Amino acid sequence: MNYDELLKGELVCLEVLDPQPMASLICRWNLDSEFVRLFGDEPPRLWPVRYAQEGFENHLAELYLFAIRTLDDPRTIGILDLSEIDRISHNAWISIGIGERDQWGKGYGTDAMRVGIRFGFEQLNLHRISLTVFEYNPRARRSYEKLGFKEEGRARKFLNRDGQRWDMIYMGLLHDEWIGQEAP
Amino acid sequence: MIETSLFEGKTIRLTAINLEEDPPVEAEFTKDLDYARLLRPWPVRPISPFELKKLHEERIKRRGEFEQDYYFAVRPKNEERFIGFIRIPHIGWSHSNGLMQMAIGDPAWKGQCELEALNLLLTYAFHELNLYRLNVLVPEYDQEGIHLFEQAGFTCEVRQREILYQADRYWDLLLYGILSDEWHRQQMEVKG
Repeated sequence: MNYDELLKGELVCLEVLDPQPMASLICRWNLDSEFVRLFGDEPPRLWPVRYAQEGFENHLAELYLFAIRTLDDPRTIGILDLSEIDRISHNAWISIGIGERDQWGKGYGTDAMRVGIRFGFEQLNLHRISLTVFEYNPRARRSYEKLGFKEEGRARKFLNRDGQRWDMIYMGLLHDEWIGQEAP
Repeated sequence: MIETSLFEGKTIRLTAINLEEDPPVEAEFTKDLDYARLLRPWPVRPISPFELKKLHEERIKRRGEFEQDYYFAVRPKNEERFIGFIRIPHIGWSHSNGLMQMAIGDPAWKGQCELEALNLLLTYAFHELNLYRLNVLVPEYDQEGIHLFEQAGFTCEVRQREILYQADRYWDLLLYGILSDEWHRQQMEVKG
């Protein structure tokens, strides 16, 4: 199957990640504190672009890292990856970030996730795909529910943000459930 | 201020690893794949004394670099024999969260000393590391583990469905957590 078709959604497509331009973007997105707090639980670090680039280069062989762009614009708007792929249990963790703020709320993230999930199940033979989402990110949570992810529980008060504790929500999607909802 | 040793229980103690003496003993324990999996997720098979020594050396080296892995070899109070380990291999410092693991492999001590070791580790995690919460992952088939962590005051918070494959089928993985204030309240009750 043609790689371009495989990674194409209705609104966006996934592209092979090029370390140099993605490093520049990540370094810019890291300055957006809201983005960083929605994207991960680690504090933002401000690296020279060259170091961020090496970070990508060193992990290209073991990760499925993709750049996200809309179908009608060559500019990268976000990043998606499938990581910690378990060779026996056929589980992987998926994560996504739309770094360009003016592209939020247009359904691009959900569409990119749909492509990433399809790739995981159909090409990587995954049995399940896992993710975590923060209690203070209801927009992402709704998107994951729309994709079929089920909440599997909450690590209570896992996150500390400005002196307030928030839950970390665990979600999972099984291959069977995905096939069930993709069927016409 | 500090009345008792953090590392001495009634019947066991927490110690440093002995890189020469412990690996051959531990290699026997890794014939139980649940034990082996905690030390190295891939490849899943018993681990040789040579590989174990190397794993422990690498862990100590990494610890020097990142200050991450809080590891204790468990031994009987009055013996040098290695009977298992308990550790906090990962801490998220900005949120004060730790992930713990424990395995007792010695047949004479298995099922006997886990709660004691766990209580020593909880004291260490909350008194010394000042963690806000501590996590542990328990496969759904591990009835002893489930009983142990519930007895120690952990709450089952997450059930990751069919995330583990072994012995010809998929299993759920449970995430248990205990918060610092829950543990402190429990300690007050014990003391009366």
